Amino acid sequence: MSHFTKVKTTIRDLDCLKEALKALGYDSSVIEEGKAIDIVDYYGTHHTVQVAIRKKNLKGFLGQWSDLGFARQDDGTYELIADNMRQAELSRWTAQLTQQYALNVVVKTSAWQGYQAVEQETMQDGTIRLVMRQW
Amino acid sequence: MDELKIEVELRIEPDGSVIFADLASDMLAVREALLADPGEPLACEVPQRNKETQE
Repeated sequence: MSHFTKVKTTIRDLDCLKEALKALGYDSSVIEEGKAIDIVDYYGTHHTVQVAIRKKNLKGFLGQWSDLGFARQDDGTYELIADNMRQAELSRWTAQLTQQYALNVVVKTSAWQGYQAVEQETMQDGTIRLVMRQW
Repeated sequence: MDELKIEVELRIEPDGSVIFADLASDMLAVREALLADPGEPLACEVPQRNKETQE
């Protein structure tokens, strides 16, 4: 019997995060990166983040109320700071971003092991099927 | 002589979870890169969902 292992992705790699944001339509010119970037939420509360996109550059529902950013946590992961007025849409957007991030991490990390992606398809349920080959 | 080629198939679900089939040792680095805690013990078998995931 085949064994399947499922891993829940967490965001830890800033380069892959920025690439995922680009894949969702955010040009590198609007993605800020720094040790302590100040963003402000809808209530006027300030947050310190390491990656940010300003409200004026956000698309659709994301840009209605506040800036968006990713704040580094003590365990090295990054937490999304964003307007959650429209929770369902934000959850869908976060899932898309995480999927794209996971794809970037898989391709980048497996390349270190000598693997290249030779097949990639998006299935009807939105799952990305990827075949990696080591030469 | 043909070179030996090793293929690994992965699935990245819409929520970003990654499913590895028969987790090859080469893919452990990929798994660790995705986890919050790389020291987390190797987990679970995923329930089989369709024909492709059956033996």
